[in-house]
Amino acid sequence: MSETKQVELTSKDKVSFKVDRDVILMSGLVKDMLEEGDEDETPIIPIPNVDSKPLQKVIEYCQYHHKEPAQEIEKPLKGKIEDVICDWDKKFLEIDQSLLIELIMAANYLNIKDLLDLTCAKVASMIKGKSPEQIREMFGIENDFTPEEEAKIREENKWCEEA
Amino acid sequence: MWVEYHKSVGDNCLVCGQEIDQDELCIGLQALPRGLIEQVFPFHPDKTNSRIINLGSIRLGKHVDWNSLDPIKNDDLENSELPPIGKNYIHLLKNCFSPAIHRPFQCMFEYKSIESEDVAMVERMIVDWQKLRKILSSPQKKRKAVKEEDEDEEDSPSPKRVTRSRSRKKVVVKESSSEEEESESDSEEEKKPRRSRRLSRLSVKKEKVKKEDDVQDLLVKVEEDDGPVDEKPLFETSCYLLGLSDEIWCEILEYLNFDEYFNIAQVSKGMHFYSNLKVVWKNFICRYICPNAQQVQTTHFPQLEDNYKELFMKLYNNCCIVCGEYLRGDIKLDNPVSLAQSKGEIRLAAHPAYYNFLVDNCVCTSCQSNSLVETISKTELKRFYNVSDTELSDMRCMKSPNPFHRSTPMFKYLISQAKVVHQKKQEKALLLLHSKFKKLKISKGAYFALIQRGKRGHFGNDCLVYLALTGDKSNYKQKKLEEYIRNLILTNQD
Repeated sequence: MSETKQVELTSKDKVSFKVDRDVILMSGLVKDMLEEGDEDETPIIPIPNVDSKPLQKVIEYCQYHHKEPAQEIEKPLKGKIEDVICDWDKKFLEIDQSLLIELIMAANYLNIKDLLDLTCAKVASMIKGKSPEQIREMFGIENDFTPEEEAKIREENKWCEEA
Repeated sequence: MWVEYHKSVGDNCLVCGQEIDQDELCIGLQALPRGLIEQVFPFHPDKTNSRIINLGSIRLGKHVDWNSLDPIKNDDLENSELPPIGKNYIHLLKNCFSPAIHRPFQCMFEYKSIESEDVAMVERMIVDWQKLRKILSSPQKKRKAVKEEDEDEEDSPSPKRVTRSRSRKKVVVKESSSEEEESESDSEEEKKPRRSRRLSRLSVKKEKVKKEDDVQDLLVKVEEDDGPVDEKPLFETSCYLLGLSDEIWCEILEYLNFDEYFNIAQVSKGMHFYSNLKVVWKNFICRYICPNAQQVQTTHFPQLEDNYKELFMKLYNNCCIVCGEYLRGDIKLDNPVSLAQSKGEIRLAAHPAYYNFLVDNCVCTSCQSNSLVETISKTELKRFYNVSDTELSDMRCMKSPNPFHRSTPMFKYLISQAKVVHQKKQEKALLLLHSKFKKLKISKGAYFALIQRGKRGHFGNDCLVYLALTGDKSNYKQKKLEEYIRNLILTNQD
């Protein structure tokens, strides 16, 4: 009986995760690295840009979606993201904002398109329907416009209200 | 469609977008229920406006939470509040109604509530429109008109044109407002007395329009002389807002609608930078408004090479909603009069823009025969799509001459709109069926997922759910369908 080949991923904070090779092949970066290396051994792949917490989430995502491919998310979103994703993804996205941002960066670095799409759509969904003041509050962004600049932008945006 | 003295304030003409004065004679038209058919057309500009999408969601009953586990109440559907149907208006005396778009017959207009002398004027206008229509639909004369027009485009304007025959003049009148004024003022004495009242009204209106035109030209000139006021962007460099790169922000913004781009630009300088990125707007325009936007920019707006946001504003409402072709190649977009005329313009080779009242937007000449803008009579609509009178009253219709009864108009509806209404009605009916499966203990979410799979053809093309939701006619029996869905649920539970 043949054993499933495994890959060892090492995060930025030196935590190792053993993952099935088939599972982690969802990552374009890892796939490229594995193609170059020796197939017989259990390769150790350092992921220096990703911490253990987001890396664990990435592995969790790959483990579920390598068998159950993710559905494409429509662009632009017509409503809330929860209306267009599966229940598992909904639970997966129940994370705090800082981890979500880290997850986006990890997905981008590891080149996992479906995860990047999902997390970007989640951020877009958070922005959707909010006023500028609410967006500032949610992401902790400072309003760095001068009153004149603000007036100018409001003027620019008049067209949109009339459209 | 009816003729009335405009009473309310702040209404704009559906075609030219200019305000309609109080007590001005105008054509009234039932407002198009927004959000219903925008989704059908591939390049409809309102498709990417969240305000309108939300309106549509309310109309289509999407407020019903499919994933909620609470049992559905019939009252939820019955008492769903629909926004009231409004009215649209079109200028009667500014040539906004184009007889080439819709064949004008007296039976198409209701004008019982207007004064008898104005009734006579409207009737005369209809006769004139019919004559114009006749000229345009005559292949020989149409060819001649197009040929002459092509010649005129090549040569400089010739004074001979003013003294051409009456029929030719009518075609020219629609082509350019300045020529219209010229030809009318020159030959005013030759006009028949019965048209004098109408013409005096028209000339007053046109003088007003000309003045506005001149003011507009002057404003454009002043702007050109002064040069751009302040072109400096507010935030020139990337700021890695929240630690995310520009590419990721572009990816995030792709999930938003254009009105939200304008909204987030007010958040901070960083957000303003991202929401104004050329690549973001370029992708957006190419995907939702005009697929060959880059070519349009190079040809018609070379000054907007780095400002695709501005380009979006220019192209919005000026592209065909079926194929996305830019329709105002030869029109000055900054000049509201020129733009207005092009929107309701007659169909000639040089003016491919065709304002379709049934969709409240423009459809190019080559897309006229597209199935998306096909119409259907009221009787056929009821027969094939099972649409009730109440639902019909919500839909925009156009009156057309009836070949069987000259005095009775024929009501024409858009097939694509009828299909949307029909489908949503069936979905509602299927949702109501859910309450009958209580014993099976299936959640509403799972039930609806099953219906969606059936609709997509997951269970084959002979699946009753597929047939019920995609067929043109509701040719299924409720009990048979109920039994079928019950079996489907049981099979899928296993």
